[in-house]
Amino acid sequence: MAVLGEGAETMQDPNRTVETTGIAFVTGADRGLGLALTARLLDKGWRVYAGQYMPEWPELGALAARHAGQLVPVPLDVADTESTRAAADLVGQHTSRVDLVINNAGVLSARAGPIREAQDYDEMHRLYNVNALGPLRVVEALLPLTAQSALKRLCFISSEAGSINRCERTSWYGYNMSKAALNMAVKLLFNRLRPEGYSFRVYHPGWMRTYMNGTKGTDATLEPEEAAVPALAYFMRERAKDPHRTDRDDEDRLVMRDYQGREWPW
Amino acid sequence: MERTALVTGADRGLGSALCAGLLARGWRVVAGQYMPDWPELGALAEQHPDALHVVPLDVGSTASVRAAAENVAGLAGRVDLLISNAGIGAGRSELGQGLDFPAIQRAFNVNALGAIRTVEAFLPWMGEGLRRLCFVSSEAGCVSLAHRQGQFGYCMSKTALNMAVRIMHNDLYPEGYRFRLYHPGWMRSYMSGTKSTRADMEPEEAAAKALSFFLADREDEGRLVLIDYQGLEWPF
Repeated sequence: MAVLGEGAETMQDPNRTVETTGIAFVTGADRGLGLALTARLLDKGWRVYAGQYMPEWPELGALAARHAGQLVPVPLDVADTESTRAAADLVGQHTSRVDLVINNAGVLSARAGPIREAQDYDEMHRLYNVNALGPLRVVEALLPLTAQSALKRLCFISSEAGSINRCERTSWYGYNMSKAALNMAVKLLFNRLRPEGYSFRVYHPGWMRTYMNGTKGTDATLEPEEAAVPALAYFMRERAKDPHRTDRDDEDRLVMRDYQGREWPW
Repeated sequence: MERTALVTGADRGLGSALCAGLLARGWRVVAGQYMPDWPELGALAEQHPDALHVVPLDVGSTASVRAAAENVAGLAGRVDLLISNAGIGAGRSELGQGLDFPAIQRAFNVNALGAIRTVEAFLPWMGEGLRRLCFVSSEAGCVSLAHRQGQFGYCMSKTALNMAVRIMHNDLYPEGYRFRLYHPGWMRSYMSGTKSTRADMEPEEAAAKALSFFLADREDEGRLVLIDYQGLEWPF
C-alpha cells in the first residue's frame, strides 16, 4: 500500500504537461475552485464552457465579459439530467469537440452528526445526487463531444473523504459516501472508456475557503486561486507508461492524488 | 441465555435462509418483512411460532424502520445481532444509452441508506447485548479491484455502504460493537426480481457460510475488513 508522501515522485516532471490549448468544460464554475480553474484555463489560452448554477452570482459573468468569445457560461445543474443534457446540446452548438472535462461541482452539508444523532436522509440523497451522480450525468451527456477530442481527458474533483481505507471520521455519512461512490463511478468509467483512449484524473484539492456548504469557509487552509494551480498542473500533466515501474503513474492505472502529489488509497 | 437477532430483507433468498439458520441454532429472530404476500416467512413462522417475530420493514423508508424498531421493544426488548441484508439491484442501463438515474438512486436508498436507517433505529436496543453489526455488502463495492464497465447503481451503492460501515466502526468499535462486512457470493436469489438460476450457490448454503462468519469471533476486530464466503479479504 502506498504511504503518504511517497507519491510525490510524480511531481518530478512538472514541465511535461499538455502544452497545446484546447476546449474545456468546467462544472460548478460560479465561484470557488471552479471559477479559479476557469480563470486559469483562460489565462493559458483555452476556450472554456463554464457550467453556471447561480446566474445571479456575479463573478462568472464578469470573467466572461473580460474574455468575450473565449468563455461561454452554460446554465447547468448537475443534479438534473435534463439540465445536463441541455447544457451538452448548447455546447454542441458552439463546438464539435471538448478536450478536457473538469467535474468540479459539489456540495457539503452544514452539519452532519454521528449515528446516535438523527440522520438526515434527504440530505444524503442530495449530496449523492450532486457529488456522485452529477459527474456521471456530465460525462454521459458530453460523450459525443469528448469522443471527437484527441486528448479525451476526464477530471474529477473528489476528496480524501472518499477514501474508505483512510477514513477516521465518526460522522459525515452523506459526504463521505458521495465521494466514495464518485470514486467507484470513475473506476467504472475508466474501465469502460480507457480502451477508447480516454484518460482520467481523480483529485483531492485540499481544504479550501470555498462555498460548499452555502457560505464561504474561513477556517480552511487554501484560497481557491492557490488550489487551482496544482489542480490544473495535475490535470494537464502527461503520464509515461513504464512497464518496469509499477509504482509510477501511467494512464492505465486509476489513482486519486492530492494537491501535494500524495496518493490516497480507495 | 436466549439471544435475539434482527434480519432485514428476510422474505426470501439469503435473508430467509439466515433466519432459518439462526432459528435452528436456537436464536430468537425478528424478521423484517418487505413483501407480506411472499409465503416463505409465513411458513417459517408456523414452524417457530415462539421464536420468530415477523415485523413489517421497508428499509427504504425512515418511517417504516422507526416503526419496526418500536415494535422490537414489545417483542424482544433487545437486539444482540443485527444483520443488514436487504438489498436491490439497479437495473442494467448502460453508459451512453441513457443511464437510469432514478434506479441508481433507489439502489443507494435501499442498499446504503437502508443500512444506516436500520442501525440508527435499532442501536438503542443493542447496548445490553452482543453488540454485533453485520452487513451484507458485495465485492461489487470494491473500487480497487472493480472490473465492471457498468452496473453503476449497484456498485456505487455498495461502495457507499462500505464507507458508511467504516464510519460506524470508527464511532462504535470503542464502545464494544463488533462489525462484520461480508460478500456472500453469487446466489440463486431474487435480487433482480426473479430468482437467478445461473449463480454458484443456493441461499441456504450461502447462509451457512455467512452465519459462521457473523457469529465467530475474530482476532483483529479493530480493523474493518470485507470478507467473502471463502474467507478471503477484499480490499476497498
